[in-house]
Amino acid sequence: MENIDQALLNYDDLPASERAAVDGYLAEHPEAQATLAEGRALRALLHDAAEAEAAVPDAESLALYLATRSASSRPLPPELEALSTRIEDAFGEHPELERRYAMMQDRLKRLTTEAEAPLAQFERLTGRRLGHVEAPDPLDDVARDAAAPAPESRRVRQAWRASVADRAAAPLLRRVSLPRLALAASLAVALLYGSLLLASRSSTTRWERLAGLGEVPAEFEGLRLRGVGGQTDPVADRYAEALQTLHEARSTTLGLFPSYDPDGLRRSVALLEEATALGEPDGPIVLEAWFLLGKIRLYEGDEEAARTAFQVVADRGGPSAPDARRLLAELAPPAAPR
Amino acid sequence: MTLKATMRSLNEVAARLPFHVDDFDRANEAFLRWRASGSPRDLEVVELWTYCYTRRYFIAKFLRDSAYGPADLDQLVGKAFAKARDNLDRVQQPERFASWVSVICRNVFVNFLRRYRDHTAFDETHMVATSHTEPFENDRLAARRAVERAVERLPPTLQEVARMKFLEGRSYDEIGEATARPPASLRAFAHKAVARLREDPALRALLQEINM
Repeated sequence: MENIDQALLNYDDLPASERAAVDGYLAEHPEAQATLAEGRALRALLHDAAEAEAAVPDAESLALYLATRSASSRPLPPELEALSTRIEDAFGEHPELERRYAMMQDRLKRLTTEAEAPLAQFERLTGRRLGHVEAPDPLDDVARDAAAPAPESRRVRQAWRASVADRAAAPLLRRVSLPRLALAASLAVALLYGSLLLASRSSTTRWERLAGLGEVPAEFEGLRLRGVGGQTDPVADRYAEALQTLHEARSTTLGLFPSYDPDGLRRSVALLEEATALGEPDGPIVLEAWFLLGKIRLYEGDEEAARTAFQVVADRGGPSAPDARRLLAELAPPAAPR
Repeated sequence: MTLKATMRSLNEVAARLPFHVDDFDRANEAFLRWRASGSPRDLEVVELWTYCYTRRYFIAKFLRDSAYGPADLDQLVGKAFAKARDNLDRVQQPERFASWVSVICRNVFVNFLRRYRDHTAFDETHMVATSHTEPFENDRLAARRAVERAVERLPPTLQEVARMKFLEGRSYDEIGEATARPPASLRAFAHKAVARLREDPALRALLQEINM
């Protein structure tokens, strides 16, 4: 076996036989746990370094991409420019990324329209008076890129950027009254969308509406707050995977007519059942798993199973206990036993 | 409101900065300049950057989860900005000022999540040790940059394996196919590389910040 310090630093990467020897050493030298923890933290850092250039960008990279592009019109630092290039290249190959990106754009709109305006907030927090200046648009690089000859890969990115950015009005349109044109187009789109929305709602069952699976987050942030250096929590892992699976099982058309792939629902249910079996009965993640189980059962129209799951949450006081009680109140009482 | 219009809003403040809000090197330079000069104009740049970065940080976090709303954003930005601004005189490593601000943001966010989910909190004013190792913002990019540089400093015999394993994320079998070496040898090389990387000053500093 390699020297003990090196083995401790690489504990999780050791073959089983060597790991057993290290376990024996740890039993006799508990102070060596510190080296083990140090190795795990370092390994976690190395893992993050590799993930930074993973083939399929994850939600964190995507959010960083959108946030940095929206934050400033100044040139990006090189590492972020590389991230942008990688993400834009990945959009063509991974349509789910574009869907996720569209969701983030919607969130950004809500945040920036409903939160305090940055200029006002800065002035309030600092007591400084900046006054208004004409700020260049962060997305003007679309136009700048378009003006320069570009290789094929860059042209693909330009096409993608143009599709997600609000396109600059074409010269022809500028000769027309743009506000009227925009108003007419908005009305037409609103009417069409309103009709589709009504149709979508009328095609939704009461159980589906009550379950509200569309409001379930796709990711479990608590997973990021786990223990030292990549130690795993099987309950949190399964709950997080169930959320992700549920999210991936959902499909909509322009946010309307939502539906869930039955196989995806089954996989989510299986993961949630594992989470409830593995964790402490009163643990917050276990109770969140019960709550989501209830929602899925409700979506499926299995009222009795849903009620059972919600009752567990309500009785044990999980984080979603108020919602569970509300849903229990909405559900008809169970039939009396004969 | 169009997306383009929303994009302008933070830029209305960020446009006053002479560099991009995510340019940590320039932010550190600006802080060092203010420390040296003490001039109000240099302080304004530091405050502008701190505000813009703080807001950008929480927006990136909030984009990932629809559960958090605009009021939470206002509250967290205000809290993190105030903590950073009130402690500018206490920055111990001015050349790492930007990372210091990002650690404050991270701690405020972690506390927010804990309050949100567990109703427990820890002291975020001065970065008490925490058990989690969630990297700070710009985490993966910072980690990537630091690891790339550290791998370049490894002895040539370890560099190739370390690059494939830790920067390209390849398995030992994949590296074996590329280098015609047995996986057991590659594992030994990788383990030696980890032991060397542990001693790298830049990686040590990064790990220290992550564990604050």
